[in-house]
Amino acid sequence: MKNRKEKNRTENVSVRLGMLFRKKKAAVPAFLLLIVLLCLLPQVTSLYIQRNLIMVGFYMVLGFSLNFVTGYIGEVSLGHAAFYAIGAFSVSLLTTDAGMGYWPAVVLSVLLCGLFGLLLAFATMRVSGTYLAILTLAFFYLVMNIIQNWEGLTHGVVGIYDIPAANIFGFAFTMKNGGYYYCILAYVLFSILITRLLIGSRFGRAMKAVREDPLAATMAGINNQTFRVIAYVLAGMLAGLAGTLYAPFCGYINYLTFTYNMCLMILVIIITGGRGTMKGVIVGSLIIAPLGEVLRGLISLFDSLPAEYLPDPEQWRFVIYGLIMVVMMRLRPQGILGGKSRLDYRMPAGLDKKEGNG
Amino acid sequence: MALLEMKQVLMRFGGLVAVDGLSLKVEEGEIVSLIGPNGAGKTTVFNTITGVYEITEGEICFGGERISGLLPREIVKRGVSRTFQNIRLFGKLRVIENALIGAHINMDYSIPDALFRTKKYRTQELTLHKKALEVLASIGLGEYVHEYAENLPYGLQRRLEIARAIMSGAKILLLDEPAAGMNPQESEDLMGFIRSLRDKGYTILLIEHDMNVVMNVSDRIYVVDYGKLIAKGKPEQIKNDPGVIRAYLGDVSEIMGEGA
Repeated sequence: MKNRKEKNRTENVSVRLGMLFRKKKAAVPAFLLLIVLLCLLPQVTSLYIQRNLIMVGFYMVLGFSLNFVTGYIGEVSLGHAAFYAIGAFSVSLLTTDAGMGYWPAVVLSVLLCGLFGLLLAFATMRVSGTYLAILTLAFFYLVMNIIQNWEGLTHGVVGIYDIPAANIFGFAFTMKNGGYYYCILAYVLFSILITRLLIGSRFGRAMKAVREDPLAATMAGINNQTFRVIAYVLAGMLAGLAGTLYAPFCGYINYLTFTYNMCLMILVIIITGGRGTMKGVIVGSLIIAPLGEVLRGLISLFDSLPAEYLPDPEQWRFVIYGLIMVVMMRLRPQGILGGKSRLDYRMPAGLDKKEGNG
Repeated sequence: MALLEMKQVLMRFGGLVAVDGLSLKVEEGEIVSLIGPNGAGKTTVFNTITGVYEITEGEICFGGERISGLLPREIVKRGVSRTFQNIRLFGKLRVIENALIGAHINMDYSIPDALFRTKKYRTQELTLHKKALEVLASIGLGEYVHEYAENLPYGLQRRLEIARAIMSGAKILLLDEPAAGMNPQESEDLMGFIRSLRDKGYTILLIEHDMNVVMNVSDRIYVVDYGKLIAKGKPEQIKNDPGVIRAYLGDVSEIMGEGA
């Protein structure tokens, strides 16, 4: 009984918070304050923390990217890091071997990733469910194997050294000047904006309709494939955008930089947070992305033990991801913040209040 | 000229002939019912009209133009919309979103329009939101617009399906067993609602098992069995048609034969 009351109370708090954020007077200042705080953050934190925040940012953008495919279209993609890799390799090769400027290279790379998104969407047009998941996985290994073996283009197993730092008007990004932090922050805000604007339109509704019931969607006059393609292209471009920043951020990339574990991690992020919601992606990446570091910290508490007994945090975090997935699927399959909102539907501006309350 | 016309339609699945040379006409402003025992091929008829199945032989015309062979979404655009026998709502979406998805074909703004919230986007969204609220209110779902579709009681889910079909701006509505699972009061309301749809200018083709609804609401009735048309006419004629009685109840003389 007590438990139930407790639950009701917390839900009410979240509903009240949500209502507050719907009021323009409260939401706009709160949002601006949050951005100012996020901008000030690198000034007061250590480089170590900042680095982790940047990684959270990368995974957040990847999460938003995968959310289009898995959250809104409802298709599980196991190979999403492929777009990340294509974006990273493309920008690196264009800025090193081809000697292009950074931003033109970014634009070209993002377009290339969109093209690959289109390719994947067409390749998976006739499959669904498990078969589709396996095809996306095959796509990932296909891309990674090409990167590994096409020595003439991608330098093969050697990888790409000395990737020039990202810069804006000749001002090079470093960790110290916070360039990467601000850039990824801008990308996260951009992802949120794009998702918000698109999902609140006929495109978002059609994607969700395809997810809920493909036949009923067709009967409503929706061309299911059109919206699948839109979602895949957008997802590819967004993940590619993250990749174009990740490569100069690392300075060196090779075929081992992008792993299957990365694909899984993106998926775990949106499943933990809540598929098909924006707040879910944000919360999911805040929880999952720093987990490796948290685990490293936990394991270092046992430093007095002989080294052979100490687990490798890099490997062990995947045990934790697995556990999180199992627990989530058992207790809250819709994700921490997924499922149905308790707030009212947002009517478009200009509609009479009375009508909206029906 | 009939609004919807099926000419000698044959639908074959391998060795099974589900619809066997069926011809049917629906005039504008009519309420026409399609009845028959279970497995007679009624829903298959709907599936052929809406393009889910490609017919083996024959022709289906809507407003004088051939629609057989078109894709389902093209047929919806021509003005034919349907509901499903086993409810197919977008359960995890809200009532109003379901209605708006029904109106998908009436929106044509582009991705840039959505991203920059242009005037085109705003007017189309506003108009269709208004229309959705209006339609939902008229169908008795006015107080549920914010609710999630799967949380609605059964009867209201059926109504939402009809609302979604209406939102497409269709001229003809194909209703597949709208009264299934409704209590007598609910089906009474439904009849009133179907009549009011006709008064608003919709043409209705109805599949229904509830004979009370069928006999009271239909202008004309087509009876099919084993994919073949066995009778057509006004409700009174159908009620007394020996062929129909045989299809539903079996051959009376066979049962009564020994005693007679």
